[in-house]
Amino acid sequence: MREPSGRALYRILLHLLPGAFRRRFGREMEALFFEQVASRTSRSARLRHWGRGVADLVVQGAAERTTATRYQPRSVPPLPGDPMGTLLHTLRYAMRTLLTRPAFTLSVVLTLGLGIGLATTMALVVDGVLLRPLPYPDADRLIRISERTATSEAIETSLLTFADWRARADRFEAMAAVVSRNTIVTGRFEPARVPAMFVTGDFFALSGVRPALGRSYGAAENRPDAAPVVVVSHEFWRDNLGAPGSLAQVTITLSDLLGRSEAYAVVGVMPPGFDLLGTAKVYLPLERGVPWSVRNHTVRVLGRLKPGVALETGVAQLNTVQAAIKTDHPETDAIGIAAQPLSEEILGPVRRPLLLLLGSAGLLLLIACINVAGALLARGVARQPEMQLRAALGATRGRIFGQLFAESALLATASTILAIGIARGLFGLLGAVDPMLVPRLAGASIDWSKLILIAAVLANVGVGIFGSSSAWFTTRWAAAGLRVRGGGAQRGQHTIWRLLLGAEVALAFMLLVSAGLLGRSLYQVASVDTGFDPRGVTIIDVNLPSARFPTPADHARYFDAALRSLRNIPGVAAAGLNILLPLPDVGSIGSPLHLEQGEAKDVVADYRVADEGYFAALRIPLLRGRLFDDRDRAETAHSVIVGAALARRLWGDADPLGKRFSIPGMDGYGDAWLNVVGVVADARAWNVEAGKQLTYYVNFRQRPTFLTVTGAKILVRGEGGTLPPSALRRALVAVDPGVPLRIRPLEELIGNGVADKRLVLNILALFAGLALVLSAVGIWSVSSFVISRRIREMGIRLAIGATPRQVRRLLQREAMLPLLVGLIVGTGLAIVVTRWIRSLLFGVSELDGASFIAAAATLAVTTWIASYLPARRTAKIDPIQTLRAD
Amino acid sequence: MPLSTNPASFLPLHPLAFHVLLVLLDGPTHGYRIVKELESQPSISHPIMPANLYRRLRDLVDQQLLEELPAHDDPRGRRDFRITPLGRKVVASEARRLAADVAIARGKGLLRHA
Repeated sequence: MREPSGRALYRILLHLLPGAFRRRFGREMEALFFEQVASRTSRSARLRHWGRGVADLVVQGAAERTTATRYQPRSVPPLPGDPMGTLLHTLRYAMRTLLTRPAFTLSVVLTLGLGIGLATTMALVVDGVLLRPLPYPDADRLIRISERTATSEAIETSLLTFADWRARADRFEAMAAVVSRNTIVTGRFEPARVPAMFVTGDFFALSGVRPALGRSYGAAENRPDAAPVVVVSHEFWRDNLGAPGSLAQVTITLSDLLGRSEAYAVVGVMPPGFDLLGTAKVYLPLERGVPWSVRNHTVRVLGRLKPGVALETGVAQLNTVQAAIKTDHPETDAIGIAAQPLSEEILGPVRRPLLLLLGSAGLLLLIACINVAGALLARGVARQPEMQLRAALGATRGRIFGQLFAESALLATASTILAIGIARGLFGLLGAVDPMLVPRLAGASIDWSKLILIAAVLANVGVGIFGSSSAWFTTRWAAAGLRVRGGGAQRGQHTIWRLLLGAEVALAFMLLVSAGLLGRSLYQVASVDTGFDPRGVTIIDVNLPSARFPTPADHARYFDAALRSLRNIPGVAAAGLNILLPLPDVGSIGSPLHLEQGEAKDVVADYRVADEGYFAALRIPLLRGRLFDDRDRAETAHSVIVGAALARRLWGDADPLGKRFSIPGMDGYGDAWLNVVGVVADARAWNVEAGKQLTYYVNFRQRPTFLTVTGAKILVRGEGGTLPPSALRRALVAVDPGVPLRIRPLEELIGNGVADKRLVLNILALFAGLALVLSAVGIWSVSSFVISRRIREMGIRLAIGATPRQVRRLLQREAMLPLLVGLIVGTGLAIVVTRWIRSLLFGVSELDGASFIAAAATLAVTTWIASYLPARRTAKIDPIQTLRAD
Repeated sequence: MPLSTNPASFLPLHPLAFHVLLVLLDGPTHGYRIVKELESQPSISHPIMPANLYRRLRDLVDQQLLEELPAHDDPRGRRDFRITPLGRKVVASEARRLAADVAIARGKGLLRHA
């Protein structure tokens, strides 16, 4: 070690010692140390001595700074020019100050900790769900492609159209089509109905994800003559197959889209968490049997763009291809294509709700910070005598500011620790959220470094702004207080209190309005007249194993018997069936209608397979003609019942009864006419506009094909409310004990449909409730404080003849002014904010008067009560006592 | 003004403080000479490090067992420390206390070969 650098290093290390000590002995210590080093003969001895020297400075420096010696008064303020000593001294002093006021300290830490904890949790959720990249290589090149029709912005396509896209669109590296259906699987385990995906050859290659075990399959296995192979999910391999180490000889029996049951060789297992285009337990080749040779809307398409190709370029090419298809096949109803990144399709629906919740948590944190700033300020005022004394004894304003800031910093540290605990706990609770509601939430694991970082940043920003501003005001008042007593400083203080209260009201108002709007939306959903009555209706999901019910006629026979058996149960008012229910997002099945007379311009109506009991079970009224009856048999002319909106759309005011149309390619009956025998009222999902639901119902006894594809929902209405599931199950087991059943009340099913809205509402309502409580506490404590400062004034007022009532009114009026300002500002902010959440609302304007008024009224009442209590106390004081006290 | 003039109130002394006072009985000297002196004694096995030494010296000055003499013309700015009368009493008391302890140890046969 060369001399000069060694000396410089030692001099730097000397700064471990307090400045006063260093200045007194530093030179001598340095001289001594280097004489000692010089006296060491070997290099290693010199190095050893350096080690001892560093340790000496560290240990003695720490000792000198922390333990004041017995013979010195504790915490002697360090001399100027020793920042390290000043900092430690300041922190020690701040800690003692805080501990002398445990209630104040605890309330601040709780408020801040809660605010930071909630905000941190939401930030982590947003990070895990929205910001985390999708788990596929080059996921930004994965594009979801749909068709556009006259009535739909994005609708699934047909396998034929997909094949054309795949063949002609060379901007894409690969393209895959997928159909998701439930299928019945049997093997050496309990027969189960599992979610299946039928995928084309490129699906696995396109995902970029390799199987965890075995292999995937490609185009070769996706031909009609290929041997049946299946890839299964990790869960299926573990739970149903018993996690075999080798897949040789592992086969399972599955039914495909055509209802054919076959033994499939299990060739691969996907890794856990693989959920491209949704979760499935088994992946079957789609093109082994093409189910429909028409251009309908059944398959979902995913494409992978070639590297460097922009989304717009790919879309433009597909639109060209689509135009060529339209020329070759004029019957297709697609007018173009719609494409968006896969991430957008997955995350688009949750982006706004999550950001709304993150923003709300941020607002709540802001309210918490304002409360804390108010509390710090109030404390600062109460400590004016102390501050003034310290200033008089020579403490600079900077020093007092530093002191107050140190207290805030300690509060922030404690709050951060609490917040991390809260966030950890809340993150654990997220496991209870239905993974279907928030994609990728289940996979979002807690990232400690991020958690701590976010919490610490929030705490420091909060304290940086609010701690330093309150410290600034306090020191300013302390300085002013030395010059003028009371007067000027107090007026300044009042403005700040009003600002704080106003801001709190404005922020709470935004949260309350948002919660109110979402609440009203949910209420609207529940009160939409959907044209059917779900109360007292039970849904039985039935999927017949195709091994035992191979033909559509077998299905029809089973359902006929099942309905008869159910209708015999005492207390059953009606029983019927349909393939799909009028609920949101059940998917649509339909193809263009061919009318006997005139053209049906681009009319795609929803195709349903039902019976007469369906209408009775849902209380859908018959408007004209008749329902299905004994006249409708398999061998007679096929009847159809149309919804009122479809009848109007097709035939206007003309009588629809006796009109005919066909649906070629839809269900395998070609051009066979459907005769309109009845018109029923429209039944629709709550999110479909009235009059927009076009539906026709064919008779399951005449056209049972789709029963084999989609299964059926049996609906049972009880006379006096929902029937016990056990009775229904018994009746169906009597028909056939080997049929898997799933029994649920219809209302529960409808509730599940709005579960996402309800989840957002519940969290938002929690935030709004907390905001209200925090605001109430803030208003109460600030009012109490401001009023306590004016006891003397009130005493004088009472002494010169004001009644207690007048005094109370006066004080409360003053609390109402910031309320008014806060409400006005809050309304302005809310108008901006609510426009942004418009897409989450249903049936209610984002400027819904009722929600705004309710929020304002809630805050007004809260403010009134919160200011009433301290004001009443003041009005009750004895004026003589107050005047004497000063 | 000393904080206490009763030598017993300073006991027991820190071993390093005791040794420093012993060295200074021979007359005023500066830190480096104290270290040299101490490191030559058989009972001191570790080097005396600067911060440790000067904190101890400072404490002894604060306790008024030592006094710090004004810096003389030493080019290194070294100052001499001188033992005060109180310091002499304290170091004598400590020596007697240690001697009494050693006597006890001797009575138990611990130092037979010494």
